[in-house]
Amino acid sequence: MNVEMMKQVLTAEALSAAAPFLALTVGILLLLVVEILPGTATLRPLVFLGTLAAAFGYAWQQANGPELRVFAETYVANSTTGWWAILFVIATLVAWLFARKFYREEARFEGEHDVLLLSAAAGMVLMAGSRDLLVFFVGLELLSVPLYTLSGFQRAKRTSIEAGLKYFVLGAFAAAMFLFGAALVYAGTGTLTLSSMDAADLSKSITIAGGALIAASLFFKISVFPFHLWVPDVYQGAPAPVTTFMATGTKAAAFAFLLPMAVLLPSDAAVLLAAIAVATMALGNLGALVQTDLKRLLAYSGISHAGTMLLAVAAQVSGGASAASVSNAILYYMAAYVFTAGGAFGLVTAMESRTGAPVTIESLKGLAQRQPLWAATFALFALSLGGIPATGGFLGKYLVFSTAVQADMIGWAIAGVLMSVVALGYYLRLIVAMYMQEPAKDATHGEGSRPWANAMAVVCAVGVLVLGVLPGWFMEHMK
Amino acid sequence: MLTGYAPILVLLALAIGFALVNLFVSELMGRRRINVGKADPYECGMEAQGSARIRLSIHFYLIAVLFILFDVESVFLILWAVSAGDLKAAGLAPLVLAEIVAFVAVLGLALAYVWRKGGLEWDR
Repeated sequence: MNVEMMKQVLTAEALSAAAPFLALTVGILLLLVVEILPGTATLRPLVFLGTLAAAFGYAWQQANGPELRVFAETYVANSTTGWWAILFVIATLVAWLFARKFYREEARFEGEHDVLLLSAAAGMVLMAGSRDLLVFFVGLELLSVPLYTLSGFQRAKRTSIEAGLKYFVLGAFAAAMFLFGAALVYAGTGTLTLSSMDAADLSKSITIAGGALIAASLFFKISVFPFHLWVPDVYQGAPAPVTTFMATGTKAAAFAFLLPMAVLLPSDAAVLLAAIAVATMALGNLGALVQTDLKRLLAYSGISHAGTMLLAVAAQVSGGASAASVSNAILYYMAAYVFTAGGAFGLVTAMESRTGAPVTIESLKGLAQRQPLWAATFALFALSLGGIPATGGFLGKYLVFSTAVQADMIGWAIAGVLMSVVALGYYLRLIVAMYMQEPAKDATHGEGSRPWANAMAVVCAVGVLVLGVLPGWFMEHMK
Repeated sequence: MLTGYAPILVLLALAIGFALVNLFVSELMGRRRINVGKADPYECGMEAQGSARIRLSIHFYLIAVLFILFDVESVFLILWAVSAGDLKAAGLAPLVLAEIVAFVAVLGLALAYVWRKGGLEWDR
């Protein structure tokens, strides 16, 4: 046992760097205590929200604090990881609020649901802060294992179990790819810590192969072509609040690590990444055009959004765009996406939970008359997903494409913009259905009042608008 | 840096070699008299009957997982115990104690949760 190393590793600085993660961990334990003690079930929401508030507070401190490199450089806390953590907390909160009153048969497992949700959130925070392949892997599993369980949470529904199994099998495959890649990188460089890889020779083919495998396993999590096949099925089958969480949080966490680990990719790979990005956008948009089920449609739209963000990663790998500008572009894009997709999937949740039947474009018809607020906010989310100005989605797209232009990848950027135009085809179809078409006679989706869903829809809509209209404040804070 | 793993490689080669050598030696030198008794899965004990693919209660799985969990966790206690002396000598005694108390407390909490949820009851 190296005593000196122990003294260096466990410092007050290290604890403060890990504070958002630790806050979530303590929250998980407190939720278990609440489960154990009789008569304390009413405290559960309080504990959950308190945990998120504490994690948010620590993350806010990091977002405005100095950079800390702790645990022998395997973990960092700086303004970027702070903002990522804030994003994860928001994604968790949105998913949790939309899950209120959603489950019926599974209502007695709500405590477990909340514990799993917090574990996944803790995993995300760990993933974003890790600068070491093994630490990242722990975060990845901490995120994935609860999500496998949550995908199959509705045990009585075949589709939910199918989603859980599919996600598990493919997720295990991706995890194995990651480990294989990490082993190759270790064989090539002799280290697993990203900061010490700068000194190592990264041009060995074994290191590049390892980097490619690691990138592929991350591509699985962010769902880009050709690792996107699981997305529509899992998003459709999983309980809607879990889908909300997966679509926003998982994607963000994988991107948060893809950016620092991109140092492992040689600059020649930029063209390949750009090609994958544009192929993903094309595939996601064409897939979405023919969908009738709303969850599948949003899943395909999520695939195309992942492709858009990958274009910024390609710009960074090519060396043409600075890492800071790419990181800010993706952070901004993802922040807008968390509010937009969170709100959109959340409203699908709200519509679904009343009847339990899948929400289709058909059932959206005439929603403007039944639920004017939902229709208005859903229209806003659709416009933001499509990248219409004055919404957060527009600025995210603008920042991403401008990094591609910085890197002289103008052709790819134009292809990406054209793809966004194709995407408007299906986003506008939703608005047409809600506002201009008569409802079917037996339309029941979206009836009744759901105060929580209303509040969350408004909050997400405000988030989308603020990110679209007042970007200066965020830019200043993100530096 | 990778040469540090040479002993593991040697151990692996020894293990595989031992198994292969034994198989080949008995294949080469052993006599072969096939009879009904030898075709049985077990040459002694009760006679095998029925299919081996019967359905087992999922409860066995739960107990097995719980056992593995606590079994592996207890291995970590040994690592702690081995290094605790050095760390105490270096003046880190309160930290070391706090760490293991927190570790065991988390485990205890997990056990209490399993107990309370009825995970340890056999006849349900």
